[in-house]
Amino acid sequence: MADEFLLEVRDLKKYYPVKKGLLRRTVAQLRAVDGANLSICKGETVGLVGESGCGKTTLGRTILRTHRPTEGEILFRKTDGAVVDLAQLEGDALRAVRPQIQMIFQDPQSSLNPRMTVLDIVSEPLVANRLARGDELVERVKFLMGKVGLEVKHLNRYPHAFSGGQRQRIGIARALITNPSLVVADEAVSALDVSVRAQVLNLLSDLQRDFGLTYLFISHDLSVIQHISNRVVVMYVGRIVEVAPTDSLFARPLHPYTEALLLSIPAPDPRRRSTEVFLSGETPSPVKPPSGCYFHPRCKYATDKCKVEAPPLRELEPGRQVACHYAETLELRGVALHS
Amino acid sequence: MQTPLLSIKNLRTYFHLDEGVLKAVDGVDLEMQTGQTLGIIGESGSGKSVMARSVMRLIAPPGRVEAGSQILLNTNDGEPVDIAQLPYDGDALRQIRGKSISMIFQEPMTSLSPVHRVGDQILEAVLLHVTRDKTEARAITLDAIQRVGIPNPERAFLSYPHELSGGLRQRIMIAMALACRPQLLIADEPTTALDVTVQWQILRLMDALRNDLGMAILYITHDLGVVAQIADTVAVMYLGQIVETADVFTIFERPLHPYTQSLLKSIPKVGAQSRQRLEAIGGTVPVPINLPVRCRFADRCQFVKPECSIAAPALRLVDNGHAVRCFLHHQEVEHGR
Repeated sequence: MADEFLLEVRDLKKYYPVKKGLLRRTVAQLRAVDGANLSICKGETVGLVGESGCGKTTLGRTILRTHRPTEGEILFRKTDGAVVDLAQLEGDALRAVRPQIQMIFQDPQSSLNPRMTVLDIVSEPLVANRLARGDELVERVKFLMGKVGLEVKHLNRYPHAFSGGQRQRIGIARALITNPSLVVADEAVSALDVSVRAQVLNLLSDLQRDFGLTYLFISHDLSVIQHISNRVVVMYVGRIVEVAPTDSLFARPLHPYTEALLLSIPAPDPRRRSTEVFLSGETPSPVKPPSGCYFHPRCKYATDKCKVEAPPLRELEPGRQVACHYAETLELRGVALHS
Repeated sequence: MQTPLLSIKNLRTYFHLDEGVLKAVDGVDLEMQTGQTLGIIGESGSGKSVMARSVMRLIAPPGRVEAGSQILLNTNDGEPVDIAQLPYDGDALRQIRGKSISMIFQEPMTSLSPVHRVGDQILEAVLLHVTRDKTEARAITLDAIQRVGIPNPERAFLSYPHELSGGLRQRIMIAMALACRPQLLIADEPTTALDVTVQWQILRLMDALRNDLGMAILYITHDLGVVAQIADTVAVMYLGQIVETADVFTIFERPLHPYTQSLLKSIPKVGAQSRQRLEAIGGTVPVPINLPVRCRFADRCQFVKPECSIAAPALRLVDNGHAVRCFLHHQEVEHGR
């Protein structure tokens, strides 16, 4: 893409030591994120998808710098145009950037302090970053409450008085109050009911248009990812295996894992039933991943080459990257478009 | 028409709270045939889980299955039993639980004992219901573990739940539920906590086992995709009542109740053009305490009519096997004659 990037992640690694025994010696490394490359342009929504334990949450949190990366660069373009490497920032310098990158959490139940009113919760980022106070602060909270569809008269209520969907709206208001340019949404709608989920997804699209937001949308739910994203990044055991524009990824996946993921989505259409099992076996542990391509033990197309040589993420077509030795020759099934 | 395996009539499960009576299940009628999969679909608070638990009589005070409710089960050995009438702690109920009817829950971690080997947990049920012979019971247990597709049954038998992945734990739960060859399996959101590829494995497994063992499955979920893939018939629940029931094709292709229609529209469909707006249902599911007599969906319904807020519609048959609780369609039927 010709646009300037807002965020560019280069060869990012996050390892956790596995300690054992009396002396807590490090016996192995858990490779939660194992060399991720990713670029996000301004105004777009990038969906990060993968199954539990694939490292998608760790990647999101490392970008937010709640985790310190083991290796790699996280280049972020600040609102003033300057590019900083978040991986290197510490202390005050990091704190100065934080208002520009915010997060929406999964569970609206546990991510809101039950002893704080909505006003306190939503305004906390402003107070913590000394961005506003007094009347200005209250005005700003009221403005955002209206934007996310909450009633201003509920300003002094506590979280327990709200439903799940409304609580998620409070979480969204809190994330947007500092005028961030990048919002990381980690499973932001997974805990919500279908009808409420649709409301919140629509709200997120509206807010993106109104405030020119950029989303990194992390989810295990492919139907949600497909709905909201411009581009999709697929992760498997700490590595990015495919990056593609949403529609092309769903219509024509290039990585065998993406194919299995897509075909495993239960289609809400009783005429399209299948008894085929698309992916058997278990996801390997990121402490002891298999040799070569991490997917080879479960891949039906795997050859001897896959067992020894790890395929790099490479650009196959403009905008489409894939980590598979045989991406050019494999004929993979996507999900047919239907209206 | 054969006698149904399970026949629920006017099931009402109320919770008597200080704030009033919470009518979690309020007059549910259902029939299930042997070998059939019935999908119950509904959002949180629709009463679908309470309904399922009521069938097992797993309702703790202040909740109660109200007098007048009927849950008739046709057991293999003769007379139908009304589960609703059985004494709470009697042997008769204990004979049904785990033997005639088994249940799988959503979260396999909290449903398994963390301090016992999974094999022993399955063995316990087998020893209680099937045989007293330990060697035979062990063989049945190992067979059940093998049936659910766990590669090394002997090793799995000796594992503790924490040593197994989420998918394997849910397989163990299914093995436990199936070891006693139940006639009816109640599955309460068994795949909600699992990843898509694992969910797909479990769905296919349950379908295959149903065919092999000839049992019926009552499958409770909020996921329309899952229902489309596994159910023969579907009942849609809203606020403690069934609002529409029909075979799975009718529900997905010709839904009549406005709630069913909006549910189907509000899901992001894989394969559809991305970034389209979803048709969300306004408002939220209210708490069913002190509800006035009227259509329960009236507040959120886009086709609401004056009579909807005066009287409550009944669940009425509009076509062969297709029943709807909505005034819109009751009139059509009356005029159509």
